[in-house]
Amino acid sequence: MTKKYPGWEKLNAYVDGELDAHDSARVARSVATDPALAEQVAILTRLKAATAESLEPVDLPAVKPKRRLRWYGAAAAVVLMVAAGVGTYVATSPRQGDAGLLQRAAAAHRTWIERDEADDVREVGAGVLLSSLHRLGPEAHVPDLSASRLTISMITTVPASGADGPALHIGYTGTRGCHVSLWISPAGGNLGPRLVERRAGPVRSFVWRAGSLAYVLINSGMDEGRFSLIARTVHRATLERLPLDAEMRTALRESRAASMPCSA
Amino acid sequence: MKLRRRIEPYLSRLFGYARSLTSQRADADDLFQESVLKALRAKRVPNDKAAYRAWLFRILRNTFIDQIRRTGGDRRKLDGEPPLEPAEVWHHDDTLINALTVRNGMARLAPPHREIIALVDIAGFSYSETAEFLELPVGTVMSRLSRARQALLHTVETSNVHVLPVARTRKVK
Repeated sequence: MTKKYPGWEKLNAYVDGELDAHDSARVARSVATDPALAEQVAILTRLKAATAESLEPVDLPAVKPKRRLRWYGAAAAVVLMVAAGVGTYVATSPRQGDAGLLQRAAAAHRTWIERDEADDVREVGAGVLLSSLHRLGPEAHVPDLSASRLTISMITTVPASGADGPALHIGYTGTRGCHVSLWISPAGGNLGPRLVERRAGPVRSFVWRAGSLAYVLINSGMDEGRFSLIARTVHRATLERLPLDAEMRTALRESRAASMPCSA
Repeated sequence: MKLRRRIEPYLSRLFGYARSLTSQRADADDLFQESVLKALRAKRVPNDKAAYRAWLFRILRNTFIDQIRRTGGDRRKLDGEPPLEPAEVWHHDDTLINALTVRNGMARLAPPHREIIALVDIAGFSYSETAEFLELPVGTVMSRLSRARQALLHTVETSNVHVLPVARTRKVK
């Protein structure tokens, strides 16, 4: 650092316009009479401009503004009360076809997305999740998808209606506008353990059976390869009822890193 | 829509600040998006322009610190004073200084150096605003910034990215 006036620190402040009028004038006089100082000022000015120019253009994330969640406070209580109904209903549920199952799950997913566009999203606490799972019985399994940066932001229960049994609807939210629904309800007779893909316009669903429960995973707008991998991972995890292993987590992480944000 | 229009002029700067805090572009992308969504969903938004800008960058910094906590990282990396660079004033070819070499050079700086340059030269904070933002004395901001720029010039000089000289056309005799 130079020993003479002004020092490097002062020159930086001069270039940044941070000196008072007196100091600024004094530095200006020194710079005017000293080519070495003038060179330093030119370098700093160029560096400052290049730093500002190094910015990359970015777009606003494709998600609408959201208000604070109003229903969240009651969510835990609702889950506990209604999930108890699901838990006891599993063993005695009447059988239902895949079409009805998919229709209900897709409708719930749509409703969640619409509500989520208007409400705030918070991560659901582990206590709420554990309580609801406990009430569903030992078979139900909700995988941790944090390796894919998807966190559970919503758990709700859908009461039985007519021939349709009760269900648990879990909403995973990503950091790039992604929404994935996992629907769990008593399985109908036609449903097997094989992972089956269904499409309805932009909405992709995967449906399968694990034990006495039916699972439906739904999304629209996510990179197709990434969502397929998530579906295969959740399918395997629910059949085995085990946490994701390191290989699965790495695959999810890499798939996410290689994919684009979800479209609106 | 009003909130979206209001935040738009700050998006590139916010992303630049996110890049200064994280070492990976994908992490910066996540940090940026999460922070912007938080800002858009906020119930109370400052009216004053300077306060609004500081509020946006504060959201991003807090989100970053939350992420560090979640992953068990050490936030002190952001607060510590990096070792001093050799006390030499730069005397080299200033055509080396451009957006590309600076972007590459920034990635090689210590986190506190990256951050303070980003706050002053990218976010456009004054020294006093930076001091308030980082909860540091103005004198510390001043000295840290001058050291950070010195370190940046050093990384620019030692970068593998250089501007090729412009080819001169030889006159035909």
